[in-house]
This record gives sequence, structure tokens and C-alpha cells, in this order.
Amino acid sequence: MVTDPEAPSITCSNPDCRIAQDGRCVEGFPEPASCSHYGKPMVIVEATKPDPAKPTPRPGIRLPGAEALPAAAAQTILRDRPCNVIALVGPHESGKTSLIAGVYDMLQEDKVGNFAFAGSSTLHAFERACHDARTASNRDEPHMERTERGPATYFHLDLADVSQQRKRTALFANRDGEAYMDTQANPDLAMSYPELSRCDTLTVLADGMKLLDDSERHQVLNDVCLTIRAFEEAGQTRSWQRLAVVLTKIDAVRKAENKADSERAVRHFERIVADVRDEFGDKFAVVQAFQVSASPKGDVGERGEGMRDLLAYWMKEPHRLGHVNSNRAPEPSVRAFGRLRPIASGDANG
Amino acid sequence: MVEQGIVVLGLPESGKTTYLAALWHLLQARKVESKLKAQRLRAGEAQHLNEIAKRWLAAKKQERTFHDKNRTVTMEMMSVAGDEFVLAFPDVAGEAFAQIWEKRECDADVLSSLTARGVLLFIHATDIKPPNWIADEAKLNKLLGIKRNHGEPVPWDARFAPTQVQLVDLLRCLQEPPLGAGPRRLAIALSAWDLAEGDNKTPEKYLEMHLPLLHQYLNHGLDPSWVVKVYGISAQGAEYDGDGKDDEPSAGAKSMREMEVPSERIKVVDGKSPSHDLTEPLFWLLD
Repeated sequence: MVTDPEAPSITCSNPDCRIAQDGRCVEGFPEPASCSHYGKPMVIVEATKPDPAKPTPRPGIRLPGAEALPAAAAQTILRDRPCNVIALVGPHESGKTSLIAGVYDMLQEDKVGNFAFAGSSTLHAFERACHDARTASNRDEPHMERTERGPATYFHLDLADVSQQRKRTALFANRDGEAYMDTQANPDLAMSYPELSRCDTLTVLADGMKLLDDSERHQVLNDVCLTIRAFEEAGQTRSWQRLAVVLTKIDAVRKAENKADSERAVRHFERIVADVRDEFGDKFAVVQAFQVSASPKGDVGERGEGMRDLLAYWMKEPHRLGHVNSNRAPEPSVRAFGRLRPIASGDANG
Repeated sequence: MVEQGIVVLGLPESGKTTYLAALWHLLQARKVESKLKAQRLRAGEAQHLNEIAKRWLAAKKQERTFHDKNRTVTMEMMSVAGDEFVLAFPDVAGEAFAQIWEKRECDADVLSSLTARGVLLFIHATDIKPPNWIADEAKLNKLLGIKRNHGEPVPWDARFAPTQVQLVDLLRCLQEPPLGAGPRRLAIALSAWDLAEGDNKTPEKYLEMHLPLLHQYLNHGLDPSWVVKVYGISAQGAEYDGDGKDDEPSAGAKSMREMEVPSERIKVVDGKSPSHDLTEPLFWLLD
């Protein structure tokens, strides 16, 4: 066979296609020009030679993670063992992450009250949260990273109550403060925060630094009351929940240059607690106030002051269980089909 | 012959190599009573064992490069009861340990070693990284009248984590897939015990004081099917000489070299009377 040197050569960018030899498009197009590879030059990529001196690293085998848990992973823990969920609510920099990190950091030295450390699947998250309060950060005073916007994540701590020889897990929900504050203008937002209706203790923070500041003091009261009201309006509070109203940064309040300012800040906090009890006392199983200093700045105040009592409150037997247990067992139906329903729907007691 | 497995773990420079060196000498020299005895000179990684034992005898510090890779040392042993077995001793490099904590992964070749029923975990008794807090330091500085200058803040890195946190995480990983292997025996060896025993504490009490989070976890968090025992191990007996030109000869090393029976440099403490028997933790792990 003689080929016409003047005839245009057929090119195709698909290396598997032999159209130049057999006239058939490997992609099956009857009209080769319809194929996207037809007429395009084949790109030849030179194979890279493996460098024997540089072995290719083999991917390692994945081990369990140690970062904060997404909701689905927290759900698995909830199903698996006795668990207390703690939601922490307050504006940006009110000390939410400090409280979570504070409990973990106290366990680094000893038991906290009756609670001993019994494990965690979120050790990287805890360590990251604690870093800026430790000397390894090279900071001159403790600092807390801002929680990123997005869905709530959960810090996990297994705790053993040494007085009762039993273990209980704490799941701390961590969401950025602004997301909670936004509910004051739009309570419906709270409906998309599942930790609010699921938590055993709703913990609302009042920032001690702001209580010292005339221009911000009244806003603290507003933030506390309006946020709880927004959650209630959105149907996200439960009558079996505990409410903790926490004055954070008590070290800063005590350190105030003017003693009168310090006393006024504490009095204002007491008024906040009284207002909360007045308005929401019957909406929660218990309302209790705490004054804490999770990570004091400077040389005043004990690190972890007040945290022991707060942890004990968080880890109490959830009222949720008492609420469920107090339900009277439904009267068995006379008819056989009626007796099956509670079992099928999972509503049966016991 | 039946093969028994014990995995040796620990952070870099936690005393694993010195232990192996002293153990090999003790088994070969047969000068002190031991619960396990070597049957033969032949061993897996025998050359490595001989090299490190030679340095140990000369009271010289082990070179860092001696422990830069994972090795499986095997020794043919016999117990006091006459049972013969091969002791496989995967010696996992400290870097593998760091990979587990920092990168959340482990090499496939380390994986099978980490499922051994016996775990010998080394912790250097006086090289424990504590969690130091700015608030506590500020108080101390005020008390001492010190002003500390701080530079640029340093972002978080997993390697900053306190020793006890890294150890708790390792134990957690050894109980969960893919490393979980059911009930195990865990011997914790507090190495360089000669530097710590001045506290007049038992090894367990020392661990409780210096690694309280780990101590709480061992008592309340570890799977109940695990059995734990804490040993204080002094495999050197004193500070050994370094190789560097500028390294001053150590008086402790000299005194160790002067001892008639080198195996008597060794001290193993488990709360009862001390002994020179470095095979004690191994014997307990194989029980």
C-alpha cells in the first residue's frame, strides 16, 4: 500500500484510539469529527523515573482522631454511655472556651472535687484550647482563640466519680458566641442549634470584665436575659434542664483598681441572677449561680477558682432521666394490637 | 519454640536503648540472679545488641542514632521454671510514637508489633514535660522579682503537649481499632530511677505525683481487662560519659566502671525490695 504524502495526517488526543491506522473512532462516533479528541495532538507525558535514593513514603494507617467531635460523633457517644451534655452560651470572649479548657487543665494536676480523669477522644482539641494559657505559647498573659463560626463541635471528657465509683461522660458543646447572640434578633436561629434542647445544663456566661465597665454593664444583663428568652421562644429550653449563670473572670473583678467598682460588678451580677430567677425560675429544674476564674490574667486569683463546684453541678445525674423515669407507665390496652404499639414505637417504659 | 511478644514503647530518649543494652549484658554475663535466662548467644539484631552493650559496659552514653529505627530484637530465653521460648522484642523508635500522637497514624510494619499482649512503656523519670501555665509563672515571677521578656506568640503544635497527655493518648490508641488487642499487661518503667529515688517514693507514688493525669487514667480510664504495674528502673546507675570532645568525664561513670560486677549497676524497684534483675518486668509481662 502506498500512502499519499500530501494527504493530511489524522491525529487524535486519545492514546487508545487507532483511527489513523484503522479509521475507527475508539469512542464509537460514526462521524469522527464529532469526537472531542479527534484532530487534537496527543500529549505525551514523560514518565518520571523513581529515584531509588528517595523512597516514596507509604501512607500510614489511620488511628482514632483527637479533634473536637462533630454532632454525629457526639451522638454515637451519647448512645453508648451515660452522658451529660453542657451547652455554654455567651458573647465572644466571655470565657466559654476557657471554662472547657479550665476543667481539663485542672485535671492535669489532680482530681477536680470527686471527679477523676478517665479519658478523652478530643485531646488535640483540648490541648489547642489550652495552649494560649500555657508558657509554651510564649505569651505574657493567657489568651483564648476565637471559636470559628460554623456548627457546634463537642469536647469529650470521661470522668470517674470516685465517691460513687461510677463513670460519666461530659460533652461540652462549643459554638461561636455571636451565633448565640444573633438569636436575640432572630430567635428562630436557635432552632438550628441542637445542643440547646439536648443539653442537661444550659450555662450562660456573664463577663466579669464587662461588668466592671459602665458602658457595657447593662448590656451584660440584656445579653443574659434576652438570649435565654430567645431560646425559650424558639422552644429550645426544657423543663428538666439545669441552668447555670456564671460570672467569669472573677479574678479581673477582684483586681479592679477601685474596690467600689469591684463590689458594684458583683452586685450587678447578683441582680442578673435575681432577674433570671424571676423570669425563668419556673422554666428550668434548677437555677444556680457561680463565680469562676478559669484562667486568671496576671498574678491575682487562683487558676480554676470556682470550677470545682461548677463541674459538680454539670455532672449531676441529669434531670432528663428523672423526667423520663417519672413518667407513669401507660395502662396496657385491652386489645392485643393496642398492646403492641408502645413497643413498636419505642415508647415503652422499662 | 513458642514465641512470646512484648512491645517496648516510649518517647525519644526515654531509656529504651539503655535498658536493652543492660539487659543483654545481664543475660550474657550471668553474674546476678534473674527470673529469665538467655539460652543462646544467637539473637535477632545480635550485632546491635552487642554494640549497645559494649557502650554500656564502658559507661558511655548510647548514641542517638542507635535508636533511629524500629527493630525487632529476639532472644531465646528460659524461665526459672524451665519453660523455653523466644522473646520477640519489637523496639519501636520514639519517632513512631511521635507519629501516633501528632499525625494520628502509624506505619504498617509497626502495627503488628503494637498488638503484642505485653507492653513495656518507658518514661524518663526526670525528663517529664509538665503543663506550665502563664498564670502560675506570673505569680512565681512576682514572688522572685523576675521580669520575663516575651517574644512573638508561638502557635499550637501537638508536640508541645505534656508528656502525660501524649502517654494517655497512646494508651487510648492501644485499646481502640486498629491497635486494640483485648486484655493486655502494661509494665511502666520509670527509667533513670537513680535520679528520682531521692524522693523516697515508690515508683507508683512517684508517677502519681509527677504524672497525675496519667495516674488518674490508669486507675479510672484504662480498660478493666488491662493489668498495670509500675517499676523504677536504673539501668545505668549514674550519668555516663558523652562522646563529644568537650564532654567532661563523669565521676558517676568512673564509679560505675570500677564496680567488680557491672550487672550490679542495675537497680529494679517495684515497691518491694530492690534487685538487679532487669528481667523482672519481662517475667511479669509474660505471666
